Amino acid sequence: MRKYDTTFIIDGNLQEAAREAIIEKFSGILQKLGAEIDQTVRWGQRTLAYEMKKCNHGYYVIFYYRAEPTMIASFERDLRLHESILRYMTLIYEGKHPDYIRDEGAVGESASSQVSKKDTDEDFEEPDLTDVDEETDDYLDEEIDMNLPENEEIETDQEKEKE
Amino acid sequence: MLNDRRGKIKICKFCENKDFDFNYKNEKKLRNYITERGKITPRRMSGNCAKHQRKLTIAIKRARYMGILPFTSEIVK
Repeated sequence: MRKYDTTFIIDGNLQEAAREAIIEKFSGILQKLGAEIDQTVRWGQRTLAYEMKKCNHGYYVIFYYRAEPTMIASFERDLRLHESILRYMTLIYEGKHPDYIRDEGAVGESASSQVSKKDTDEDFEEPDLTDVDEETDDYLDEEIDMNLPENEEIETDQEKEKE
Repeated sequence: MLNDRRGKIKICKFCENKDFDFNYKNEKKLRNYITERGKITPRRMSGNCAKHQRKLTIAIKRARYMGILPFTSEIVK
């Protein structure tokens, strides 16, 4: 068994249901061949750098799996024959999934995590803002007190000069 | 005279920083090594060593095939 990384691009014009059906279909094909899928990453909708098969947008999906080398050929044949797959690339991979690619796949999880982040942000924001306001008020008061006499002096100097 | 023309000797950035990920999906980093037109920057400009320039070139070409980077791009006027 070897570790592989297959990335493929699904036609970006497809509806979500059709797209998910394709992803399920191909993960099913892999499992039938006897491969073990470690991770499925939905990179998500991206603008293509150039037009492919009249498409300007594509949905990128990454499979990380372990399989025998003989399985790859038949899996790639299935990818090639599918009309909605624009491109695919299989590489042997080492190491971990890179940080800079976000998984859009688990929609429910990501949404919940976003909500939790928002909640924490709000908790932090409220006390911070009040503190900052008080501090700035203090500074402002001080500055005004300091500035006024200086200005008066300058004015008086100028007036004296004029006189 | 000669020294002026040759300029500074550049050191390969990847030899200095060994953490660089030569993955074709690493779009943001790879974009630093292509020109506005989408060409791969030559070694005389980037100062990379032969080994790392080769890895970079392979990654950029893979990224092009997968529609992550352009083969060519026109300059927007």
